[in-house]
Amino acid sequence: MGVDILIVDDEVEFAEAFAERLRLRGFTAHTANSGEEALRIVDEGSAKIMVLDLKMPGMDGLEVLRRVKKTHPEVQVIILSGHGSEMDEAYGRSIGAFAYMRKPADIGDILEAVKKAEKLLTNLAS
Amino acid sequence: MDADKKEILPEIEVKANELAFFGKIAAGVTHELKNVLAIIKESNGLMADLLGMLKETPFVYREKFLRSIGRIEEQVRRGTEITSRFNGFAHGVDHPLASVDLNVIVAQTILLAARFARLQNVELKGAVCDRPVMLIVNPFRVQMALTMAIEVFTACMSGGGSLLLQVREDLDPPGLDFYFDGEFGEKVIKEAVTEFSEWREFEELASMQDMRYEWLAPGGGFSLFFARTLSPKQTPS
Repeated sequence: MGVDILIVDDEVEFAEAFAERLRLRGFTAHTANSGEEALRIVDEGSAKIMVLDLKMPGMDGLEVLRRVKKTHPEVQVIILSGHGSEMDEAYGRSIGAFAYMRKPADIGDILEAVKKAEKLLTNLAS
Repeated sequence: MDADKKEILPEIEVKANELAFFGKIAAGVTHELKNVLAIIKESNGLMADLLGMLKETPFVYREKFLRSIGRIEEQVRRGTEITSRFNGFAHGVDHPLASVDLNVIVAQTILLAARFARLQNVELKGAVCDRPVMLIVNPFRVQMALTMAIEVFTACMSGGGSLLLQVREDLDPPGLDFYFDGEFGEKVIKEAVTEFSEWREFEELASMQDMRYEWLAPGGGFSLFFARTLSPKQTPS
């Protein structure tokens, strides 16, 4: 099975449809519908790559990113947001986001970012 | 609070607050719409993936499904473009004065005003520059003035045709040329100025934003010129 990817989005239907598409392509995909749930899954070791929405009730995506980078810096985070400005993108990258994409994004573009993240993980591991 | 000590906000401040409120709600709605489009896109994509996996399995309605999937994808793309442009428009009220690219304003205006033009059987087109053409203006008011001009002109294009807005970075100050294809420009402009009260509003708005205009001759056309910055006499609200 492919690398563990965690999709973090409070839109349940989006997270599940996207996860299903990733599974069809050989990835192990999990979903989390809140920042708190995402951090719990990361702590369990079930995520190497995270696809993260920014605007969520409770803990927002930037706070999730900050905490993940603090406790699990090896996890690569791809921000996928419907909101984003260039300033948001610059800030996200400055606190450790691997990539920043705007919703709705083509799955091909997301997979390209995932492949690059996988390559980085492999290099970090070796 | 004592009623006679209560401060009454000047009308202009109330209107500014109303506009800021509208912009805030509009920006929130476009964010929600993008989420909806993302769900439709992924669900549609999942159907395409599953159909793709069953390529060898005979399925009578395969072509119809693929056509519908293609149409959904195209409409999601169209919806994304519209919501992105509208989001940009909604954020235009965030700052009374901002540094903006005229190309972006024109692209946004054309997308959002295309429907008004279509209702008059006029195709709205834009020609932008490769490089940014930066202005310091109130982006919302500039867009409002452009949309007003478009509405009035298209209403005067009784034969239909197309209206092209071309960004001119080669001019100093930079400008926007309007070309009327399918109609004699002089006729359109004469009718716009004499028949439509909205033209007066356009003139007022244009003046507030330090925009001046000229008729293009011969053949008729229209040019709008933008000051790079507002002149000192103009005060942003």
